Amino acid sequence: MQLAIQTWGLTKKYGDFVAVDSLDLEVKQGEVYGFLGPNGAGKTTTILMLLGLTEPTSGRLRVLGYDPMRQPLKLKRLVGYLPENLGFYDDMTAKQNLLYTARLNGISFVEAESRIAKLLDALMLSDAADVKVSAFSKGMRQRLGMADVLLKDPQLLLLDEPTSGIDPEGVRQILDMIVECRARGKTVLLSSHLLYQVQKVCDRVGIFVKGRLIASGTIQHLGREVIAGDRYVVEAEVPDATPALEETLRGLEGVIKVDRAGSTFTIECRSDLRGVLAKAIVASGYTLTQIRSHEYALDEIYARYFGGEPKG
Amino acid sequence: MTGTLTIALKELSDYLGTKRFWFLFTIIYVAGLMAAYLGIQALVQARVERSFLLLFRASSGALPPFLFFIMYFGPLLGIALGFDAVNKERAKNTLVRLLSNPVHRDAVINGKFLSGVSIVTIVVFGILGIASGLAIRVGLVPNLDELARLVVFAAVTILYIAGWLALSQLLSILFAHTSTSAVASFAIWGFFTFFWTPIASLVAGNLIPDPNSLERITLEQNLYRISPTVLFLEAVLVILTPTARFLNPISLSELEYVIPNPLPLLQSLNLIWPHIIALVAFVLVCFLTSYIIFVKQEVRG
Repeated sequence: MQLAIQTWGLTKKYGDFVAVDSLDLEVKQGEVYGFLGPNGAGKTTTILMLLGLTEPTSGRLRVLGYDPMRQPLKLKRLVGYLPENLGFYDDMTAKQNLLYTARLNGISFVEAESRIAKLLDALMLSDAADVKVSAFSKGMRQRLGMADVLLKDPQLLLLDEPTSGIDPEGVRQILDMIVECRARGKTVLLSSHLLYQVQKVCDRVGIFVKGRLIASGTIQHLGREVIAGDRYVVEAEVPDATPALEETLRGLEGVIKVDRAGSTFTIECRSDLRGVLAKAIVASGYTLTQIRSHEYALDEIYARYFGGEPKG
Repeated sequence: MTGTLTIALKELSDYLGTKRFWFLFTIIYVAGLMAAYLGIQALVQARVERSFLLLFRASSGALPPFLFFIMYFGPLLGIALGFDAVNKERAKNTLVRLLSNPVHRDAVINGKFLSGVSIVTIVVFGILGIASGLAIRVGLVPNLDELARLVVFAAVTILYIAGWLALSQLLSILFAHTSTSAVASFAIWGFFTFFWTPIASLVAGNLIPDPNSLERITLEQNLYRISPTVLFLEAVLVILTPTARFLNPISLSELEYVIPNPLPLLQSLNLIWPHIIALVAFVLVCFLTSYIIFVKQEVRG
């Protein structure tokens, strides 16, 4: 698969402060990549470098086949950027703001009118089209920002904290938009410190701390590798469990560790032994109500990396 | 170029929509008309010379002549149009969004400058048009040479105000807060308009103590001319005074050979070429500095 974004040793320093430290990032075309990390981890700086708005101190990067510093205009035609601190011209209406973006992108007036109508409709902003942006709520501004990004029909979307500080309904609309973008074959790089949302829509996640990408992969992959030390964790629900069963399971080939809390077993094994375990439980005469492999939640991964309580 | 034009048109409609602009616009027009009206009164009373151009440099005494009025207030118009050009966009977080679209950074500066100059052009031609209309009503009809001089006067005025626009735009790039760039712009304006001439005299007096020597006078005059305000005043006085022949001191013996008749426009222009070039340089230096700083600047506030 082709890569939409590729960086080699990308570094940005502000004086002695290293904002981004030799980042090697690969984002495939057509995937939603979650850029995860606490505030100040260097996510925004990275995005600005991807757009050619900030010059890297060292390293190379390629975005949609272009060098952002050398061919910024060609790249900016194909990339939609939603900044974290989103600003609009307050004295202009929502529609006037979008028309200005359309003109800057060389979209004809007629084409722009129809695109804007569709986008405002999809984002539930049709009623506010002719309202000055100064009267907009945070959620409305954020949705207008999505419209602004999608207006030029970009191939790559760089969304910096698109859902921070808005209500659940607004979050849902924006996440729906992201899913829809993926369905239309667009690549999305989504930066966030909100785990739950990233988990919902991202194909892959990169964890970014203090300017370094410390892990990258699917959530399952990250969980297995990071938390369980490359082990499979199976959860089984046995209402009539006894210590004898615990011993039986421990004796099975490939089982490393068995924990029991009431009727719930947490079994670590070298490979996916769900079938073997289920058979063993039933064969010993117990009732098995549920067996499943443990789904890693992003906050477990997050907490593991950051040591503290994850937000969101 | 399309980016520049798009930005210029948006800025133009922005200016025309702000109260700040209309407030200033009204003040400039009312004061300009007052000056023109008083100028005409002075002309009607005068017996010696009743030329059309005199309107712009004559005064009945109640108000300074029209020319001075432009010299003082013109820069304020330029500053009002430029002092928050870039830092306002930065403060409102619109700069990042603007630059994430396919426009070069210089298009932002160019577009904003272009729209500012358009406004200045409209204001200058508007006010000169109304003043001329007043003059024609009282029977002071300009001839072709005077009309040409009026156009040159307008052009130099636009250039002068454009310089202040470029300067305030530069300050809006240098300073993050609009209030800082506004105060800095006014401080520079005040310095060159009110304090530069006495300072220049002081410096010249210290370097060459003899107050009557030609060197002293020449030095003093050249120091004055560092100020764009002085350059503008001298250039415009020559244009509006067809009989003006020199800007620099000359000896009495040279004066004997002078025939006191008016110069053709081209000869007057010859006299003030250096001034015009200096004013163009004022615009260019501000502009290029803006460009160099802005291209290297971080887009985040």
